[in-house]
Amino acid sequence: MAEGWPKKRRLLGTKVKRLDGPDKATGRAKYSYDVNRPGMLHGVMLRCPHAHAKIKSIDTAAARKTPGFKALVLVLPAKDWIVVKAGGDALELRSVPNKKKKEKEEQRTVKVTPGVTILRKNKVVAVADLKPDDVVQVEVPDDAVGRELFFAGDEVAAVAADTEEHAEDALRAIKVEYEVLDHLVVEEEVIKNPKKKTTPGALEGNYDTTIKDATKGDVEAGFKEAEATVEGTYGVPVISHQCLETHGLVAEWDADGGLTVWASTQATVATAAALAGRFGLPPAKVKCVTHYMGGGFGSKFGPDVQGFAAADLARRAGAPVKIMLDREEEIIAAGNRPSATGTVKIGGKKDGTITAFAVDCYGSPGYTGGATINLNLMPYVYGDAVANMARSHKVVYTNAGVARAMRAPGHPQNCVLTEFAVDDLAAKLGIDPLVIRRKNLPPNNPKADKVSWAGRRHDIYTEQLDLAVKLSGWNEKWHPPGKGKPGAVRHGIGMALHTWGGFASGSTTPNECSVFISKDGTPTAETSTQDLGTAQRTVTAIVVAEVLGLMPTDVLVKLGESVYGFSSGSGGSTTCPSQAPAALLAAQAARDDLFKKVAPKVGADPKDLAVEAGKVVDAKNKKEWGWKEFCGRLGMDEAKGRGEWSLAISNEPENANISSGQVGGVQTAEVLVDSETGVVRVTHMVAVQDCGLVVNKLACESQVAGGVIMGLNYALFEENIFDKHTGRQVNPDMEFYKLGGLRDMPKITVHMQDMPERGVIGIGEPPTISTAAAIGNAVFNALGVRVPFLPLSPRRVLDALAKGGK
Amino acid sequence: MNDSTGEARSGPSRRGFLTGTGAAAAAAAGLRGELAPAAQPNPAAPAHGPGPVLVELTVNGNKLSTTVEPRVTLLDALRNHLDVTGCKRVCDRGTCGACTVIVDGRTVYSCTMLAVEARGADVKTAEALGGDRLDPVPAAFADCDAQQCGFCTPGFVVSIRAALDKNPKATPEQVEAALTGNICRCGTYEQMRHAIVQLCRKGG
Amino acid sequence: MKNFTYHRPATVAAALPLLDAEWGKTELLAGGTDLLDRQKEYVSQPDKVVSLTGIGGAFKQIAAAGDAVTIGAGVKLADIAESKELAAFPALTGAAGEIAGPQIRNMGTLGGSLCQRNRCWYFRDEHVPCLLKGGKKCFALDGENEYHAVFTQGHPCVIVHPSTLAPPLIALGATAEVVGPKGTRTVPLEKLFQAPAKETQREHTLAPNEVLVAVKIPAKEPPRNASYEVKQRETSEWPLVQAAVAFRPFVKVARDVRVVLGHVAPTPLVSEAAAKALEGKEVTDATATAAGEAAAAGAKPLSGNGYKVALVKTVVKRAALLAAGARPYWEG
Repeated sequence: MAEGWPKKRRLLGTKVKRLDGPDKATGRAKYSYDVNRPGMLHGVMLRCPHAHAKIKSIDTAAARKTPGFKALVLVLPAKDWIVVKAGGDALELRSVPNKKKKEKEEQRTVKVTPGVTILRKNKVVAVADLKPDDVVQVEVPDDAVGRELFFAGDEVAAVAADTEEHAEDALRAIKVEYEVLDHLVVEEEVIKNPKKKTTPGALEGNYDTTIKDATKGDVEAGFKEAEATVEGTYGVPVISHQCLETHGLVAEWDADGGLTVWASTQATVATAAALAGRFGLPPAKVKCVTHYMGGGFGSKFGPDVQGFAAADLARRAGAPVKIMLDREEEIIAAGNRPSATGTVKIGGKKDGTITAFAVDCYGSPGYTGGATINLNLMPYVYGDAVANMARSHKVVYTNAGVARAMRAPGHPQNCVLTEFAVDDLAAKLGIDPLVIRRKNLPPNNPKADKVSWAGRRHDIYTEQLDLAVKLSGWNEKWHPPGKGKPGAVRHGIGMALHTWGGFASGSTTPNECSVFISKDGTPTAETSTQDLGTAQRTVTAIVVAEVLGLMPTDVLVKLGESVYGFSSGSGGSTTCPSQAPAALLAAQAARDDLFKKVAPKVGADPKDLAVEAGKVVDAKNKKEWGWKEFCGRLGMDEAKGRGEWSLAISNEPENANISSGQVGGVQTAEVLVDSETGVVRVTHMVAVQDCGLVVNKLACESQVAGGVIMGLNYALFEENIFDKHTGRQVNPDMEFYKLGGLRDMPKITVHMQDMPERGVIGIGEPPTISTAAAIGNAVFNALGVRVPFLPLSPRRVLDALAKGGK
Repeated sequence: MNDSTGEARSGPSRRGFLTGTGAAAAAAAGLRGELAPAAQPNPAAPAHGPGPVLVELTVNGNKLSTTVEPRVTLLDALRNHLDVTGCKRVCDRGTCGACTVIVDGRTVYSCTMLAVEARGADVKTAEALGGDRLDPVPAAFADCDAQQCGFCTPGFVVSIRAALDKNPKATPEQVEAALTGNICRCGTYEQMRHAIVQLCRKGG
Repeated sequence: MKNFTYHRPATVAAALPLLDAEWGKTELLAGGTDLLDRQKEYVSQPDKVVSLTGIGGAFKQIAAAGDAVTIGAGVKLADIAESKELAAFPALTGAAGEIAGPQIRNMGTLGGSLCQRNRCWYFRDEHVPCLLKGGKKCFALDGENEYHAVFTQGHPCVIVHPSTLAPPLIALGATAEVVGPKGTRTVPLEKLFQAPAKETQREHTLAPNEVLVAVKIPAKEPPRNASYEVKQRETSEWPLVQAAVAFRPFVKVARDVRVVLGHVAPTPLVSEAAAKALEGKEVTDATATAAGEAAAAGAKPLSGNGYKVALVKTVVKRAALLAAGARPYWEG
């Protein structure tokens, strides 16, 4: 029976400074990018400059002769072979067929010419070293010939040299001839050319049409019932994660054949496992370290091509190798948030009822990948309340880098498409859009637990709307669209709603945390999870300190090493709801172990002992010991406890108030739009957010404000822009790929609803979802003209005004 | 290799001006001193590189030296050769501010300055603000939670330190104006504003 | 970046013999903020870099003497922005203070601002063979041209000139002092610029072996002047469109009006039409608006930058009103 969170919260829910704040702010914190190992080499990636091409030939001879050159790797599928016969310059091999995949055994003969590399047990060997039945990997340059590359930035090779500059020189000395093929990088061009196929897969053209249209009720009848109907086409572009620390890692092999990587990753355990798989190592032989991490936002869950390449270069060169992507590579090849363009038709009544909603949308995940948004979420937030809807979605493939999860994948797009339509409908109906929002909230589920989201979601949203109205001054500030104070600079206010999960990780292996208490009284918490900037290190310390009656600074937290037990990747806002309960259980178990071990030495019964701030008390016998004094009695022993947590564990009925999931949020935006310049300034954002039990109010508010700011950048500035002729992104930088600075930011009012009875819920993703929609609606409110496509740049605003005739 | 330890940093401007026929013509055109197109004498400006060049500089009060090719930036010299990693490489194109350091009292983008140009310079990075006594700027960042992933933070901290060094009575608006060359991705600006208010209240 | 040999002469005289008669092999380094970017992109691959940062004295000074203020080409943008000697030229100091962020202003120089290369994203991409890199076409013409020129007539390459200091300096009647192997020449600043159309041309008219050493602004009875620019962000950003306006007040009317547009054409663009619209008239909302309309009249925008024509009207109007000392109606 779980003991659960302490009834009296001493630290939980208060504002606790992050433990690593000073180290980060003074540059002493060592990120993976900062790791300089003795004898370390620098690696760089060679990428295809064309949006679609085939390799005709590749010549690495000159590169291998450049000063400082150490190793070269071609990007090819990894494959193990078994030596049948080796001698002279010839190698006879047979494959190791994967029986599960029903593969057949292959044979191949390799002529070992200069440029051919043979590896056995992760070391470069010569033909003479080989004997039959050795397992080898063989790199034959000719294998790269004919390889098809699907975007400008697709990886071809990697080199390592003594300095970064020499590595770049070597890279540029590799001669690759390409057969340049047709490309499509602009979604509208794909739509205009439905048969043209420039991306992989079995389909005709660049469409995925396998996604089923989804309908509910009778949409035609719904539109007939409507007192007003509007139709609009809205869209959001592909944007980049723009992690400030780029993707990459430092790889170092040890004498025993083990591999250590210092990686910028959201998943130390998964990264180590992927490397172990790639290099045929037992998982225990690979260690992934991520002590500090410079942003991931959903894009960093594994070693990636460059991570495998770094480890491969390192094994060939016999020295540590660092590959960190540069900014351009980060943008073109390390993930992005897919676009969405949708034609939305919405009908409703003056009382706010949405009678029908129809959306036909498309988006691009790059050259491959699946659905870009979850259609079932539309109309976003209001789906359960709307009786009649029709939804369809097409995936449009373009010759561009592949999408990855980005902070609430699918949600911001759905939110914009839905909420823009809601405000346009309100304008047509001549009502305050707040009326529609209140009218179409998801109803409470009377069958669900009253503490849970499902059981009270209507109430939570209603309270959030009330708070947002009050904090933003909505009732005083809202005016019909375009009917604010006249002048060059127009004021507007807008709103949008969102929802998210934030449950514990659904991974079948639970997340682990271990707590050790030594005789000096210092608790050490060990977990392999990583602190992406979410203050997870501090969360762990708060939880352990709360249980042990200490302060967070008294706890030594060791995290970000794959060897500290299992942890899932930090995605889906699952880290805090997985890790905080694991730390809770570990600390409680360590405390109980401490009581068990020390009680006999102090003449107490473990079950009479309890922790209070700074001390252990035996209330029954009216005795107490200072924490250090008590722990001192451990002697040579150590108290320890282990905790584990997962979605399945949290779903056990008695655990519902330790962690749960599903949150809602309401945001309002106030803007000033200069109608003569098209420049939009956001002056005030209000974010009302529930997240169950707040662990650290300070960091929690930071996360929410940070989400709002990311949403603001999405609304006003960000866009991956591709040239349809060259097939290349024109702004893979931070100059024309724009992100706001301090002076671009509004005052941000964050209101956290503390609901400790619901346990811990993740908060990383939800607060970024509705920001852009709220800002877009505020701009509409200011101008009375819809600016339908993000980002709301001067160009888009002025073009919309010119079309709107106002 | 054609190397020298480099001339004294402020030397050239204080050495004698050139004279000569060209200078006379230039004087007629209103040009003085260094600007004059002297025909002769023509003092040699020695070639450095392309091989590694000795770069000696002061970093956070410590005299350091390394040899780097002329193409190596100050940022890369600091990070890759001197293991001073508080300055971060993010955009590498003089836009984002993560590489900000103070050179001879002024903030610069170390990614956009050649290391050879910093010979003899006094360079200050975020690490100078740590140590035994935490500087008020990083302290305010820690107090107000003005950082998340923290990768941009040293750059912001250095920019604010320089602004307050220049004007210890700076208002929050003036400090904000000093941050137009820095970008944060996690969105820590709201908390950064709290830190700035705290700093200005304390007078830097 | 391709490696190079590096020289740091102590005088302009010592710099001159290090320069080539042709573009490409040798580059001048002033603040480095443009050159290093180009080198990192392999758009410029010099074998030799001649740094001007070792040149001191007048090269790095702002000096008021007689009827002129002379600004050395090596003066930092930050020092121009804060200069007391230049207090009569808010068009210039204001524009300097708006450039990028403090770090760039601490590094970049006057000479660099005037002689920098354009920011066209096709030009800056090594893999795009545009006109200025010896290619056969301008990719912006039917490509992504949101930030490109709107006064495109007669220009095969539709970059915008990137200098934010050039328009106010031209409006103020500045001249450039240029030193080369043949000696010194003085150039009216508007003649310093040209629209490049091929690899062997730069955005300025300097010969490859010349050095811009100073800019001189007539300072006798300085005109009223102002610069106004529209930027999407308050953070380090290129202006979308800029206008500098200067005129002499005579009783209630404006005389000797100069209107210069920035970031709308391959060169800074003197707008005679806008000047004419204000000449001899009182600067009011109506005349300033008319000047804006006149300035925009000849625009021929590309597929994606029609919005910049509207911005031309706005910036001219606002710069004229600012120069006249009117209260900015666009600020709350």
